[in-house]
Formats: sequence, C-alpha cells, structure tokens
Amino acid sequence: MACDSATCGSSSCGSQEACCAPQKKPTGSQLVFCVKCKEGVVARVVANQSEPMCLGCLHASLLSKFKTAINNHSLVTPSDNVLLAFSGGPASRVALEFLREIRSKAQSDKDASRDHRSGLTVFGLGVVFVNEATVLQVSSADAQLVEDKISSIVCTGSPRLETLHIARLEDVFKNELSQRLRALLESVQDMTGREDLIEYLRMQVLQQVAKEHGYTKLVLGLCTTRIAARVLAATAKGQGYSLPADIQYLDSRWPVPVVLPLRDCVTRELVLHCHVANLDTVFIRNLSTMADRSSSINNLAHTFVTSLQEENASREYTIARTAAKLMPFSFNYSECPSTYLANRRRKDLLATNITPMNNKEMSSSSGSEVLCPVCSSPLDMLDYCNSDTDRVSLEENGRHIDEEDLEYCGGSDRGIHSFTHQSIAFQTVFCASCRFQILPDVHTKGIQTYELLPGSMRERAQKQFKDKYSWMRHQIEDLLIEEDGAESQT
Amino acid sequence: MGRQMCELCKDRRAALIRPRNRQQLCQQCFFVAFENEIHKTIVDNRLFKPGERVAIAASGGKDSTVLAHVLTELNRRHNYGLDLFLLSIDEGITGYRDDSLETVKRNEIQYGIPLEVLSYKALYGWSMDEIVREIGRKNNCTFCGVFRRQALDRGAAKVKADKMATGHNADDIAETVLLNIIRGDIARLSRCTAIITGEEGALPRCKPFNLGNLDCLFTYAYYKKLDYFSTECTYSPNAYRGYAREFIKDLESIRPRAILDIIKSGESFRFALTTKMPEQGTCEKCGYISSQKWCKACVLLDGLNRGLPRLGIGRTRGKSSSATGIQTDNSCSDKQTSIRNDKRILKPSLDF
Amino acid sequence: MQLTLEFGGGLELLFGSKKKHQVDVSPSNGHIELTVEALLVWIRDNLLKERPEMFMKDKSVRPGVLVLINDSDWELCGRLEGVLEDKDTVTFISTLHGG
Repeated sequence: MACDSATCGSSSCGSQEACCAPQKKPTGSQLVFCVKCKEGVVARVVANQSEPMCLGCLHASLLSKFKTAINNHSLVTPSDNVLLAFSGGPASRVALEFLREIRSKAQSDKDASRDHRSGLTVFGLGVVFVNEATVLQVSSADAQLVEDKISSIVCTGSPRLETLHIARLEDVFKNELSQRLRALLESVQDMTGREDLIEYLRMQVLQQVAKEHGYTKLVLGLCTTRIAARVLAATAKGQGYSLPADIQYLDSRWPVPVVLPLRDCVTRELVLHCHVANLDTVFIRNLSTMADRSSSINNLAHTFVTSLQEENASREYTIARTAAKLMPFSFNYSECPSTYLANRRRKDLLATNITPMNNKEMSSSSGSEVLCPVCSSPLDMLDYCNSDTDRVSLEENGRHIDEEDLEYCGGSDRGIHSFTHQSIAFQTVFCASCRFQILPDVHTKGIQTYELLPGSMRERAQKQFKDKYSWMRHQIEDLLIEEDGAESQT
Repeated sequence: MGRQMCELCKDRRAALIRPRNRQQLCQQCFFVAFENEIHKTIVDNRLFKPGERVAIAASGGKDSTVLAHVLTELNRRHNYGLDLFLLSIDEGITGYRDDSLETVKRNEIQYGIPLEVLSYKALYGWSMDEIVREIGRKNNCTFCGVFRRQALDRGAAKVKADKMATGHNADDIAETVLLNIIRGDIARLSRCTAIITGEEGALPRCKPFNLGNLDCLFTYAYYKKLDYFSTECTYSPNAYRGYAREFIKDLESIRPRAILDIIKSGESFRFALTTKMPEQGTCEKCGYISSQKWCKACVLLDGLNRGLPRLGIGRTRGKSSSATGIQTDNSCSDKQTSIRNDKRILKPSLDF
Repeated sequence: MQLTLEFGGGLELLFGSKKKHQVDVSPSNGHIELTVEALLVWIRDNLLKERPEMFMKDKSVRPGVLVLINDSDWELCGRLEGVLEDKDTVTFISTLHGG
C-alpha cells in the first residue's frame, strides 16, 4: 500500500489517504474526522484510546512509538546486527515492517551521503521463526506448511531480502530430539508451567540462533497489552521480585541482549494496522488455542486485561506503567557503570554457553544477579539464602556436604531418598515459581522433568548448586562461631 | 490408607494437613501452632505495647471473628496487657449488615470484650441504602470503600483507641494488590501488604495475620466452631472490582496457592527510588489524612449533599461516545461543579 | 442483503477455518435496517460452528475481538447500533492470540 512508505508524516498523509483508501463511507453515522491531520480527512480507526485517526496517522503514530523506544534507549545502533523473533502474528509483523522501513531509510541516507562521509553503517537485519509444531503433535506436512507461509511473508514485498532462519523448538537439545521434547513437556503437569517452559525453551533456541549467526540484538514483539497481561500473570505466580526483569526495553542478561521496541504499542492498534495496511500475518495454533480461558494463568490474565479494556481503554497502559515503576535489574540498563566491564561480562557469557550471570561470590556484588537455571529470572536473595527448606536441611543435616552428594544433580542413577536433604537444598537453586509449576516435587515427577531438561539448563543448575553449597558451608561456619560466642557469654 | 499420627505430639491421630508445609497435625496441636504463630508475628513485629487500647475491626465475618478470638486468647495467655474492644461499622445495608451485626453482638458476649458500633448514618449523614437510592448500583462500591476506610479510623478515634487490628484475609489482600496494580496506585500498592500501616499521623493499623498463617484461617474457624457470618454484600461491585474478583476466583480454581502468591508478589515488589509517592497532608475539611486538598470521603459527600452524587467517582468509560465527541452525562456533571480547576480532586482515581 | 464477512486472528477456526464468507442476511421481522447487533445474532445462529463463548459475550463480541465495517473501526460506526448496507464487508479479528 502506498501510504506505508516511511515518509508518511501527519501533514502529508491526508493526500495519501485519499489516494489509496477506497472511500466507501463508514455505514450509519455521520463521518468523523482524523484528529491529527485536521484537513478534513475521514478517520478510519480509533487509536490512542479515544482518538479518531486516518490510516496514515495510525501508521505514523505506531512508527513514532517504535522509533522513540529505539532511540531513547539505544535499542538498535548502526553497528548492530539485529535478529527479529517472528511469530507470524501482528506484533512481530509490524516490527518486521518498521525495521525494514527504518533500515531502508538509513540505507538511502548512507547512499546519499557517501561522498561526504565514509564511515556510515546500517544495522543488519535477520528474521528467525521457531517452529513449535512438535508441541502440538501436528503432522510434519502441516508443520512444513506453517514454515512455507512464514517464508512467503518474510521473503516477499521487501526491497532487500533479510536472512530467514527457521528453527524448531527441539533444537534446544543437541541432537534435535522431538521425542525428548514431548517427554519433557508431558512430565510437567501444570498447564501454566508447561506454557512457561515452552517460552523458556524458545528463548534458548532464539539465543542459539542469534549467537551462531553473529547477531548482536534480539527483537521480541512484546507489546503493552502483552506486558500488562504478563504483569498480572507474574503477580499471580508469585514472581513479584523478578517481574521487572522481563518488561524493560532492554534485557542484557542473555548472551545476545533482548530488546522490546513495541513496548509502548497496544495489540489493538497493531492488529488494526496489519489489517488496513494489508500486512500478511499467519495464525499458528499453540497450546492455548481454542482452550478455555482458565486453561492457564497466562490465558486467564490475558482475558482479564481484555475485559478491563472494555471498561476503560487505558487500563493496559496503566498496568504497564505501574509495573514500570518497579525497580529494574542491572542488566536492564543500557549504560553500564563502565562499558569495559559490560564488554568483559559479555565475553564471559559467550564463553560459558548460555550462562547469563556468573556468580562466583553470590550476593556480594550489587550488579550481578543469581538467575534461575530454568526461567533465568533473578532469584530473590531473601528466598534464596533463608528459605525454610534450607534451614530444615541444615538443622537436620548438620554434617558436611561432600562433593559426591553433588552428583545427585548431575543425573546419577543413585537412589533418591539418600539425597533428600540435598535435594531440598538443590531445589532452591530454582526460583519458587519454577519449583512449583515445572519441578513440583523432587521426590517424584520433578526428577524426571529435571533429567529431561536441556543440558545447558542442567549444567547451570549444577554449577549454581555447587556455588551455593560452598557459600552455605561458609555461612554455617560463621554461625557456629557466633553460637559459641553466645554460649560463653551466658 | 491408615491415618497418620500427629507430627508434633505423636500421640493423637492427625486430623488435618496444613496446606503450607503438608504437616499432618491433630486438632489441639494445630490450634497451638496457629496461635503461637500469631503470637510470634505480634512479638517479632512489636505490634502492640502494654496498656494500649486496641480496636479489633469486627465485621462479623470469618477473619475478624478468628482475629477477635485469637487476640482475646493471647492477651490473656501472654499478658499483653491490652485493653481490647470490638469496633463495628454499620454501613446501613439491609439484609447484609443487620445479620452480621447480630454475630458481632454475640461475639461481644462470647469473648467478654466490649463492642462499639458506628453507623454511616451517624458519621456521614447517609446510610449505604440511601446512597444507593441516590446514585444507583453502579458506583456504590467506591462510596462504601472510601467511607469504610475512614469510618474505622474515625470510630476508633472517637472511642479513644491507640491502635486498630484488622483481620484481612488472603482474598482481600490479594484483591487489593491487584486493584492497586490495575489503577496504578503505587503508594497503596507499596504499603498494602505491610503489616503495620498509618503510623505517621493516622491511627496505626496492624494485620496480625500474615502470609504464613492465612491459609489456616478457615480451618481454624471451622474446628473451633467459631460463630461467624458469611454473605456477600447485596450490592453489586464496580465493574473492574467485579472482574478482579472473577479473576481471583478463576485463579483459585486452577491453582489455589495463586492467592498467596499474589500477596507474596505484593510483598516483594520493590519500587524504583525515583518513583514519586504522593505527599501525605490533611483534608482541609475534616482533618483526615489526604494527599489532596479534600479527602476522598469529603469530595464524595460534597457531591452527595449537593445532589451531584457522581462527583469524584471519575469518568465512566464512554467508549464510543467519547470517540465521536458525544458527552457523557458524567462529564456534564463535572462541569457544573463549583470546585473549578481542581483537577486533583476530579482525577479518576478510585479509593480502596 | 449481501454481506461479506471476514474472520481473522484465529476466529476463522470457529467458522470451519474459512476466512471469508459471502452471506445473504435480511433484517429480522419488523425491522427495516440491519444493525451490527442483529448481524451478530444471525452469525451466532447461522454461521458459527462451535464455542459461541469464543466469539460473543452477552449481546456483543467477546472482549478482544476487533470489528471493522468496510475497513473502518466499528467504534466510529456506532458499534452495535451501526446500520449495515448492501455489499458491506464486516471484519472480525481476534486480538487474543499471538505476538
């Protein structure tokens, strides 16, 4: 469509509107005019909660939010090689369009200024799609169909074709074992846990692809509406502490930092834009497709936000804004105290597979966080160090923890009960939420689920367990000395 | 499957399993454990000082009944030296409050502590039934919430209490956490899970029930055969409060612990230091704490008394009409008000 | 009157996975005009294959379903009261899926 060109400013869109939109008048009521152009252009949508707008202004408004997010938070710089996680849905579809627009604008700027300056660069752009067909056990033909559709969307209509990477969720395992993926998901009884685990695995796959092909930023299509739902779902899962980590513009706890340029755009407007601008999307079934709204906490939260929207069109903004007041983590800031440190950390991360934060001395440095090996959310140190389960294991155990006990978490086939205390302590290297919904009971199902997790997650868990135990042993020694002192006083 | 023995006394058969730690206990040990936990909460957090006059906010419901029972018991057992009394608010809702007040009156006799009842009618000149007659059933929750919050404080001050203890249950607190997120009330969100509130200026309030023992309230009331009253308010809640309740109910049905997890989340929220909290001042009209010129109750009352009852409730949705420029009846009533240009009073924030 | 109905964003699954439907709807007895509200009832009774709660709530569409009449937001056309004309296209898109 002509009016999708990058130059559609609010002053010029009136004429474009007239040229490209078949002016069949909206039925029924009298015509309403666009509040932005003020040139008597007929409004076609209601955006920004209550403003009637023409299609050009809707496009301009969304693009401006997208660009503002990118510029204000340096989400994409000219030297970046950007990978867009594309789901086929409207949000990532709009992100694809906008990144193309910005890129082609930058490219033409570069071409124009070639004579004057030579150092100008344009960011690279690639697209990745993670096929999750295995989860739904659909036929391989259907899975292929989805991939074909994605290819046709990404590879047409663009002046310069981006690289399209197609990955599958089971790629998270070294040897692409769809059997293992199914077994892992089936071992998780809780539907919310299962959905969340898929999301965590998807991120692992996205990171793998990004790293392998030298990308420097990963763009997700998470928008305001989704963030609002996520905030409420996370609250209901008891993730109040870690919640701010996932909803910031920038999240560099991953080897390839994740950015959310659609953070200020709402689903309603993205869907409208896709429809009126003829942006092709594809609907792909997932676990919650056609499911009852109470199939999972995520689904419930999303339905809840949607109902609230009916009552007050600004609710999703308010919820997202409330959550934005929560304190983010160090990895959410683009300006690190020292860029050198940040670079060094990134190198460390790359060297140790997908181990987001190295925590040799936990709880010591203010900057680094200890992350849950499964969901990568920062662990609440209060939980982590003083949880009841730890106290139980310490009080009843009293004895030294030998290195061989640690084999427990390495997946050795020794009996379970002899490790009860270690297993309790081991559980606490995971966040409370994962413990409950993904690894609910270490004595029974949890073991099975744990064994089936991707190697990278288990390696992280093991490492964290070792670190934690050496730290705990240290703490016990301190405690013993203190207690001796107290006794001698009485 | 044979019944287990109580894990604590190892003498009697276990009668119940504590949801929190799956501990199997007999009735007696459960009572002791539960009461000791509340005692610990009180001692650890220094909720009371000897000699204090403490109002127990009594609604006649399960939670305040358990609170009244346990506090009277602990006061006697551990010599807190508190002057306890029951404080009830009569909103004036026929068929709802009449019955629960009867329960509170029985509690007065059962626990041997005095009861003070204060009515909306006496405090504000309006009963809830009268307010509903005036404004309809749509926004009455706002009035009731705002008035009740103040009524307890005013009532407690009137009978010279030093402190107030409230028996918030898990559902209430979870609902409050959600509502504060939904309407962006950072100030309330950051303090709604606190165990003691209002220490500066207002009458201090404390919640002796905390995360650890909330799950046992129902079990305790059941086994103690406590006399409580349970019914829903006869007026329908605000739309978004209704959605929030439905959400909590749905959550509970797929994951019972979600309610405690919401509270846990509320407790672990840490707000960025740059977040501005509204300054606490006092209402120019009644002297109650308020971050605005007039407190919410005075704004609402003013509207009621002047025949503009929707003043201060905030704009209603007006989805299609605001889009097409048609004014809602609400925006008209805003225009007629004499409190001109004071956006702060008219801002659409709702009080809990 | 002849109408084109479009379903997207997953709603098509409720209508036999068919995205576009050409239908002939006439106003119900005693009415001259066909409103969106009446169309919804017609769709529910004549076109919907399964799970009406996934499409409608009370008299309107389920929250999260966008409605467009001739590619214009129904918010601008009087929502449920909007009057349809012959050859109009009504589009329903669910926003509840995918990002």
